[in-house]
Amino acid sequence: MRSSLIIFSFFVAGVLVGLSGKLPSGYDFDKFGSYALYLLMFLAGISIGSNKNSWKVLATHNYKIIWVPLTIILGTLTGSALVALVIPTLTLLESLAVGAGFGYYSLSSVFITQLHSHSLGVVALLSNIFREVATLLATPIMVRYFGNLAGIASGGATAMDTTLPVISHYSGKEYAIIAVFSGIVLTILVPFLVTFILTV
Amino acid sequence: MIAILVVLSAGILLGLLIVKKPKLHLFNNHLLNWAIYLLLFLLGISVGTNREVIQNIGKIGYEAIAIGIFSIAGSVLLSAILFKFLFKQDEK
Repeated sequence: MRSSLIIFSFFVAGVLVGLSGKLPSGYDFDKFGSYALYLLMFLAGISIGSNKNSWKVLATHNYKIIWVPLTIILGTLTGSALVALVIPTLTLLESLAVGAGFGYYSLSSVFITQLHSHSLGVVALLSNIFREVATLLATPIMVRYFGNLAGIASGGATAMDTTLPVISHYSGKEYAIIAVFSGIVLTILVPFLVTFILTV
Repeated sequence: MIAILVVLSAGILLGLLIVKKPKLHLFNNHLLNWAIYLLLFLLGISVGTNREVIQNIGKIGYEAIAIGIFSIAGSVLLSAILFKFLFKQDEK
């Protein structure tokens, strides 16, 4: 929990710095963020590769791992559909489209802005950022009560990069390969699913 | 997307070279923690500087958090069932 609080305080500090408007102009912070993401991926890769257990998972789980992303898709879309029943300002397809971002906020918000509206694009941005941040914060608790796949399910597409370190830390390094596999499948599906949902 | 996978693969290959060097594992974990902090800080800046997000934060935030919570709940609950029936038996 302590590490989650530290992570969250860095996020809050970033929001405050952004709000203060005192940022030096001329810097592209989104670009900076993608460099930081590459660094994170590289370091996470070293962590996976240097651990002998990482490779055990493919031998022990083999065909089973295809069920992980399928389960996450079904669970995510069912959950999103329920929201449309509760909140009258959202239609079923709008709610499904936002859910189908699976935490991949940059791509899904751009797609939804293009295909639907600007405001739903912002909903997608926030909702999927929320999914990523909530996964970073709650993975320790979710893994304890719902098993070692919980962090991977919660992280969705982000399980292959930003939330991978937390998942591999709390579910065990042998789950890192499942996380990357599931994250890759979901990441590839995001543009297809979002487009399909909004154009049917 | 492709670039990210290339970087990840490069890391895994480098990791394979240091399997038997536990001190480097520890050092890498420290770097990993700081990379996470940096990324979340930058994510915060993106949110804080986006005018449209900040102004409509009420309605938009409410819908966003509802979809976020229900998406997570749906997938985590189903994953718990999958874990129980297909994965738990493989744990030592």
